[in-house]
Amino acid sequence: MKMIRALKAITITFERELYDFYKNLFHYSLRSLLTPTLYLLVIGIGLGSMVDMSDDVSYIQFLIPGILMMTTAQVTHLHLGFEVLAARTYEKYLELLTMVAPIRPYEAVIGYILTGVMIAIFNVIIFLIPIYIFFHTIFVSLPLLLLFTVGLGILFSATGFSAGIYFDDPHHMSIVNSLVITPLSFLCGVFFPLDLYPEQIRLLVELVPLTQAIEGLRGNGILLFQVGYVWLTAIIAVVLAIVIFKRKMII
Amino acid sequence: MNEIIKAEHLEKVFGDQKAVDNLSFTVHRGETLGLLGPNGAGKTTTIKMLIGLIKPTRGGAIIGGYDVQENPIEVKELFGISPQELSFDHHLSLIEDLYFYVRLYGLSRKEAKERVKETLKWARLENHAEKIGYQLSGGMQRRLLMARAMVTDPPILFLDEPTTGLDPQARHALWDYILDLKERGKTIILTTHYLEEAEMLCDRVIIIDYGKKIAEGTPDELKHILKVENIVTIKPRNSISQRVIEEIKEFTGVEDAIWHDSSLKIYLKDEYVLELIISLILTDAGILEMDIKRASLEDVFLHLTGKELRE
Ligand SMILES: Nc1ncnc2c1ncn2[C@@H]1O[C@H](COP(=O)(O)OP(=O)(O)OP(=O)(O)O)[C@@H](O)[C@H]1O
Ligand SMILES: [Mg+2]
Repeated sequence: MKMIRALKAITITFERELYDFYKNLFHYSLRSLLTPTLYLLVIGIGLGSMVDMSDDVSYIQFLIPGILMMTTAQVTHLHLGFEVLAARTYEKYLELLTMVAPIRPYEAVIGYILTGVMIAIFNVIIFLIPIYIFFHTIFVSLPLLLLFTVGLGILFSATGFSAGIYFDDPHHMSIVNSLVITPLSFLCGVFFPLDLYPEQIRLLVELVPLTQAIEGLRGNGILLFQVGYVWLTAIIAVVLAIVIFKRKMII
Repeated sequence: MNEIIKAEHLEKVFGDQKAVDNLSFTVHRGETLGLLGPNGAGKTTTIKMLIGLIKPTRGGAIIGGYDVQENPIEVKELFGISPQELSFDHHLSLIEDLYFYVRLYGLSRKEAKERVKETLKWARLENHAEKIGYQLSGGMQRRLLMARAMVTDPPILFLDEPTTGLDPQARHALWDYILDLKERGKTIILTTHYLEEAEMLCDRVIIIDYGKKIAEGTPDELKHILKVENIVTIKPRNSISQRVIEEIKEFTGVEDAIWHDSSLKIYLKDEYVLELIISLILTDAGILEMDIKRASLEDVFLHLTGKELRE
């Protein structure tokens, strides 16, 4: 009985947020299409002609896993962040939907994170359609793509959700974005191989789950460790998100 | 069990400020309790402690037999709330908004749709069902909040300043909804700044100031706290000397005299002193305006706290 109520509470939160997403599907599709395409065109084709990769892997093929994972991280973080920040401070509705209604804090958080995962998957699919049309391949293994997209989707939904709950000022959200999320995305070996880094910096960069996802998708390194690492950090982030949520909403 | 809400020694401290201070009360099934107090008295904080959104520093509350802290879900299923602040989703239409909201209470899709339709009709918003909250007028927005509180048909309703920001006409229209809820046997806790609202809607009123209960009773009982029938307000031509005010206070037949808002308010137990008072002030300061009326809750409040409800 309790279990059923919890599942229902999660599903309805998920359903509502997904419906909200669906109502603006066109804009979100544009967002998921435009950003990665710009990277691909400007960097892949522009820079690609100047970069000489050591083996016979084309630069585009090197770039696609990176761009996929990087934009997935950014889109889910920002989407969830602004979604809950707006619902909490501007619409004043989050409290009713997650605290007044008979739903437990963790159920509400999971409902939002599932939405984030769907957004992550959506983001990847939207970008891969033109890639496939153009190149007749998506350059990556589908099961691996799913594993890493869902893992990163959970992780960055949780970070975005936490930021949107924690900060009261939208400017603080965007500061975190430009100080943490964007630099991290650029450092994680999206545009050039990790061995270009000095040893110490490379170690730090490898600690970032995004790096592990990108390298894993490229087939570099120990796959089991990479998947495990991404998912483990994702689960820790979700637990932290629940703690932050409870602390902030029940004063 | 007739006591459906029981608040016991509720206390909330924010930093070094006691927002709510040792507040206890009970509400009976079907009763409407008014929480009356000036800005910052602790009304909203009290309601938020009752619904589990603010953790009391001390004390607790039992609703429908459940402890608010220990059984939050069971408690939440028992009430609806119309919060002080307006709230709406910026993408969902009224019908979608209420649909997803009511489904959180475990209703099936079909039940939810029907309930939303009924509720929109009840709130006379059915012709605006496709609009988004912020496209509604002020009065309609308040009605949307009432609709959200009612859409689950709960036995208990918390209405936190349900008529704030409305013009008198819209306020009176909203009262009809609250009277309808009373008629349906709902238990209601209502906060307000408007004394006429409390007199009109509440069976019992608690007056709060600085988080403390300073008086409790039916509107009629509260008026008797004053032990006065009439209140005379005299606006003098020149300022009345303190000596004269003290002298008037000493009269038998005078309960109290308060200098407020450049007028002297005299609480009369007996009318025979009135002539004496008038002639005294006339010689001391002259009289610009004078007014005699029966005591209202507003006067009780002024008498108890020395200030008016609205700042
Ligand atoms: N989150 C908070 N942090 C710090 N102080 C708070 C917080 N919430 C309320 N207070 C303080 O507690 C006191 C009571 O506030 P509350 O909102 O309960 O008053 P109220 O009676 O509802 O007033 P109003 O009629 O203006 O709505 C105020 O002094 C307010 O500043
Ligand atoms: Mg208030």
